[in-house]
Amino acid sequence: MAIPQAQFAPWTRKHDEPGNPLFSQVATILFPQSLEDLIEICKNRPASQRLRAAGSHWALSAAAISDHTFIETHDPKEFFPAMGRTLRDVVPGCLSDAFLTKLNNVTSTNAATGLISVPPSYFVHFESGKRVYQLYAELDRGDSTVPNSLAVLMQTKFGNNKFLGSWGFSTLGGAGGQTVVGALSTGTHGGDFERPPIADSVVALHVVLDGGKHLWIERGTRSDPFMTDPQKLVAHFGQAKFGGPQNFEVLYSDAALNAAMIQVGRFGVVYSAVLMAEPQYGLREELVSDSWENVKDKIADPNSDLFIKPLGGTAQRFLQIAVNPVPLADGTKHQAGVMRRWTVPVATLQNSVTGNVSWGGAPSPKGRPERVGNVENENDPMLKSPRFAHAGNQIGFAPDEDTDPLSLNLLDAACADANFIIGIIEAVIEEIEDFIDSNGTVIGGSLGAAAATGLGAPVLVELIPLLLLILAFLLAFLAATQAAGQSTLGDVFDDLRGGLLNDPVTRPAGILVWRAIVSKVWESQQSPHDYAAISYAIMDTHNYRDLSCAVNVRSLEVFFDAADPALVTFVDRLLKFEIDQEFQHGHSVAGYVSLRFCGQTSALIGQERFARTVAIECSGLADVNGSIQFVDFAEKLALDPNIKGILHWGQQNTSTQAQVEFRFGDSVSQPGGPLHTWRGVLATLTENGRLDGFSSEFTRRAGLEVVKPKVGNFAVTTAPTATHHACTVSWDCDRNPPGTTVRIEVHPPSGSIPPASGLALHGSRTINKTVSGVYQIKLIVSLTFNGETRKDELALNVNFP
Amino acid sequence: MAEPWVIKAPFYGKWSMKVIGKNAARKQRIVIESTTGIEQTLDDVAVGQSLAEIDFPLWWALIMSTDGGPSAQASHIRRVPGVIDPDGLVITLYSDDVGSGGVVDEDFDDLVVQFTYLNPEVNPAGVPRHPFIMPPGRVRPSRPGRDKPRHKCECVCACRGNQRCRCGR
Repeated sequence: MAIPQAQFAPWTRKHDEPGNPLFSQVATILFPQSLEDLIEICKNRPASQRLRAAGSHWALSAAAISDHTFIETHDPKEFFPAMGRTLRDVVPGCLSDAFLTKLNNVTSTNAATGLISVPPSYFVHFESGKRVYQLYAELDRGDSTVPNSLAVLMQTKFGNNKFLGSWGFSTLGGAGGQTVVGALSTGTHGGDFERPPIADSVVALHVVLDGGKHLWIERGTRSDPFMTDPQKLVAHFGQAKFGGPQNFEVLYSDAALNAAMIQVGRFGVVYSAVLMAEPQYGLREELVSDSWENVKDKIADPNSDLFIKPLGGTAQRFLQIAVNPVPLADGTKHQAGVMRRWTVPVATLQNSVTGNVSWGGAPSPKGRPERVGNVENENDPMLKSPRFAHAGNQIGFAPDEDTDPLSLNLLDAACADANFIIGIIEAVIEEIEDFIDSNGTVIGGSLGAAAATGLGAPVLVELIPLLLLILAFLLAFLAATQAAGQSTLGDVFDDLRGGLLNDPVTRPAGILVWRAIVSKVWESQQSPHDYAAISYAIMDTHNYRDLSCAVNVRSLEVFFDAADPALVTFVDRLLKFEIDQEFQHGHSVAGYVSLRFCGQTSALIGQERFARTVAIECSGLADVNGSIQFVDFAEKLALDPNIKGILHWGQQNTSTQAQVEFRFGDSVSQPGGPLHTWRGVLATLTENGRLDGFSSEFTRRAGLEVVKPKVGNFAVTTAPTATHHACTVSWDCDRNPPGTTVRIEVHPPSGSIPPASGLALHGSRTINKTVSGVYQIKLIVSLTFNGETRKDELALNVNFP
Repeated sequence: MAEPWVIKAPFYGKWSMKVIGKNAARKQRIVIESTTGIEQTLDDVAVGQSLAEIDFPLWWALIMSTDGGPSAQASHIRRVPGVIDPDGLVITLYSDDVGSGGVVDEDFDDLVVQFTYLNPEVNPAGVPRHPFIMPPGRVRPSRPGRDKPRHKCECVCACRGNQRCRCGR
């Protein structure tokens, strides 16, 4: 059956400007529906048409952009069905007996103690187009009613009922709209500081390579039984419809999986993944107000109260510090929201006040009905999975659920309707009026918070004439905003910024008022709270109804060792940039700087390289003049070698090959390091780079390519004799990246023979005798990539009698 | 746990240098070394001494001390990045000199040298700011409820599903 496709259609990302697609038309967009489709796409690719897989289009980087053909695993417009099935053919169909036995044993009743241990892990196998919120919904519902599931197998095979319950992700990022594979392949993480990113929960990947060969990559730790039985895998995936047994390979290798977990789409297209889940749990979340200046010196100390705040006997697991880049206190203080989380048993969660779902037993815990809901369609034709009523289409779980379960918190309101700012501006107008009425002697509220106290002249009094002009602008702005009706938050904010900051004459007063307004907006979004709900309702905070805040966003994320003082310097320098751009240009960022902490990844090019890694997200609404400058400056600062931040692969990231090698190793002068191993795996999977179908502008710029050529076969095919005074050598170096050059040097015992350069990657050459003796014949392959030249060579010694 | 120290502090690009502190009996020396070798040696440095520009793709600063004799001992260095006004990005080296027999007192104040990054792309010059200062006692706290709209607002919350509550005046 023909693979659905679109030609010369627009292609854009979720966070790009609405109505202005990133590409007005791209050559081809393919919508595969199965493994067979992917194999066919990769097998029959014309040489000039490179491929790249895209998931939900949530990435902000160019990582998902193809040179030519886009492979959509989950059509964001849902015109075509997603590759979103949960698969049972491998889990449990191809699991090894030893693995099943081990899985059963760790959950068996301990005869000595009589205690029953909790099942530590469950395994779910799914196609790459499944979104995070879809998977957490399915995991929460569990597999007890699915006849061919692992849970039911454990029950029938061993009489073990402990897998029949509810499961959850061990960690998540802050949103669930990405495909799981998209999130893991770019290193998406949460803020659970002892836990590695989502990618580390992956135990196997099924990847289709350029050329159509497909590969099962699984952990290969020898101390544990392999999860799968290779014979069962080959029997299943070696079927003719998948290209036969010669088209499929099983690879049990930690190095290969650690490379493939975060591969930014370069290895091929991921067909499916097996993820390890843990028993469902609840999370309690607390948000308190603080300041950046108060918390920043505690970050490097793992024993500080930022990380250690027990909840009963439960250790804290999560930390996020969200910083308002627009300052208060005359530029000396920045608001910060400090968020902590703790694991709590599901049984201790309050019941949802919105009613129960029809599965999982009643009553439903908080968050389950609100973020997942009932099953609307058991086999939705677009999702190829159950469709849950509230998965991926609701506002974030709000802290005031008890009183008004469907109320919108102010952030949701802000993003849905920018007119929320009217009330805030009215309050600031009153503060300005009060200040003027007091002849500049008393200042209060957020206006007062924007100022600092100090000895000397009350310089704010000098601003009163300018504040009168600002007051007039604000009143006009209010009237215009109310008359205009609904607009995006970015547009409204930029109109406000322009009126307050554009005119250099009134700018000082405008900055004071702008800071007051922004601080009130921040307070409304970061209001203290303390509540608990089911894990995903706390972790996935995304407002899926938002049509304003999540569009036209510029964002990047920078990773540091949490103990590295460069991280505080990075934030401080960024905050100084904001102050300077306010005064110098009248620009300002409408956004945030958010620090989240996570554990170390085993992914070779994962950004989470440190035992305690901090990820600093710098984000702003692009419509507001100053946001793009702020984020771009953050990127320059991060990439500077004196700062040495590591950029997230899935957000704004213009890293060059040299910058990537500086962070992950394998430069020309210092080969080795994790990037060297990653490139080695890529070389294995792509015939040392010859198969370049998944190369893209992004991977080439970043050096996520095979950069080291290799001499293939090089041999004497006709040796010289006493009567035959010539030697013929032949070579085959076809398995090399495009651009590889071949050169032959002949070194006779005396004299010289001109080298032969620019030779084909395979061929033969006859060397005539000039003098008798041993000749050294050297084949040199060379590749210059992004200005770096690497070589490989092989020498033969040939005796000319 | 003692904070880590190094012998050679790495830098990339163009920086200026200024000695901002000294508390040592031994004579202090600063050595600037690039990938090709020693570029500059400043002997018996004093507070206030400076270099307007040091510019190599990669270079190192070493601090050494002598007792007046010909041999010098490399000091232990703590490298502390930071941000100050108006210079912006700085790296301050705090050194602990090593006396005869390898004796250290771990005070890390024998010589304090501040380097300022001169890359305008990453560390643009600061700009003048208007101060927002009020005398003490003139700032009063926020009054509760002042961030509410002055008009009465009633939200019609009967709407559910994809509809949103609208606020009517």
